[in-house]
Order: sequence, then structure tokens, then C-alpha cells
Amino acid sequence: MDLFLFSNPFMLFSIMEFLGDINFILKIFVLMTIIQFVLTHVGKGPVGMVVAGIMTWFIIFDQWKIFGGIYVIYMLLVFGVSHLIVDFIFVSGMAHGGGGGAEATAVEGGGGPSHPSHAPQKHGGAHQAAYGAMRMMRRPPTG
Amino acid sequence: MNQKGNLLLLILGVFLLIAILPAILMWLLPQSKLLFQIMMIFILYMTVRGYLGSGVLSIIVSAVLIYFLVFKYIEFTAGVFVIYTLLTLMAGSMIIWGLSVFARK
Repeated sequence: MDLFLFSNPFMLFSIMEFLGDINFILKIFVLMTIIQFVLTHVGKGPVGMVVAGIMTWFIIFDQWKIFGGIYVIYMLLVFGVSHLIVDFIFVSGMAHGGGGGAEATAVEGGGGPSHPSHAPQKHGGAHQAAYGAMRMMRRPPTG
Repeated sequence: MNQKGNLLLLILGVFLLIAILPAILMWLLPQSKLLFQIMMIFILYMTVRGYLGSGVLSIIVSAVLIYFLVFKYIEFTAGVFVIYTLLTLMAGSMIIWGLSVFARK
């Protein structure tokens, strides 16, 4: 592969080859996951071989379009992408103040309006985040 | 809302830049390409051995993965590896937080 895939316009056709190779590599990783799962739970005996064969046929050869996507999402979650999404939601709420994000959710979820002197001022994200937390703590008891 | 979109684009751009950095480094310093290849061979073999244990099957699967990931698509693999390392070390949260502070100014 060249430095960049698109550096040479005549290499555009290789995108399909690249995707096919990535698909093949993904199948190898799924196969290893299946074998490890079976070895852990069933063992190396003939029953384990049969179970591994059935799982491999069903996951990789029969329903690959479903399980391939599931495996990609699983790996992204294992890598911690969900943390990044949560971080972005919190940070975008604090960075620009008001109009959404975690802070807005906290304020809307609070127990009604409090004193006007506690209204959020445009003093920056940290102040508004503290205001949101304060509103959450002042939630009246239910029931 | 528009500012949030800009922040999201900034974050995505920075992560993309981080993913491209190894390829640029390998282009500028060919020795770093060899270093990455050696590292990836060790990492791939250890990963496969962790899945399958020691044996002939591990060597075969490792060889296939090493051919594709180390020799054919080393730039792509290096970028993914750098992003994976950053995510594993929770450095992605620091990057997002730093970018938000930068965008607030």
C-alpha cells in the first residue's frame, strides 16, 4: 500500500481490495474469538470441535453480515469509544453553555425552578456545570 | 448547535491527524517503518497466542495476519494501533477535554 491510498488515482480500484482484506482479517479475529470461547467453555475434545465448527459455520459463513457488524461494535466498545462519546457530550455542554448537553439535562431533570438569584449566568462552563450539579442536589423528595 | 458541530469536527480532525501521523513518520523516517513492523509482529503473535495457545495453528494464523497487517497495510495498521493505544490509556478523554478548553477560548 502506498503512503496514502488516494495519492495515485490509478489506485482507486484497490479500495475494494482493501475492504475485502479488512473483511477477511475481521473473519480471522472472529474465528479466533470463537475458538477461544469454545476452548474455555467446552474444552479441546471432539464435542468442542463440533461446537466450534457449528458456531463458525453459523457466524462466519451463514450470518456474517449480522455478526460482522456486531463484532465491530463490540470491539469499539471494548476500545472505549463509548467513553469518548460521553466525554464529548459533557464537554460540548460545558464548552458553550446552555442549549443542551449534560448540563441542560441535569437542569431540566431538577425539581422545578429555584430562587432567581441562582439562575445561570453567562460566566463560563465551569460555573454553569456547578449550577447544574447544585440544582440536582436540591431536588425535593418524591412521594 | 453550530459551535458543537465545529467542536465535533475539530475532535474528529485531531483524531484523524493522530491516525495519519505514523504514516507521515514512516514516510519521513524509513527506519521507523521497520520499528513499527517489528513491534506489530510481536504484538500480533502475542495476541494470536493469547487466543489459540502455542501450536501450529497459532503460527499459521499469525503468518496470515502478519502478511496483511504488517507487510501489506502497515500504514493503516500503525494508525489503528496508535488510536487503540490512546483509547486504552484513556488519553482520548484528555484530548477531548483539551480541545474543548481550546475551543472555549
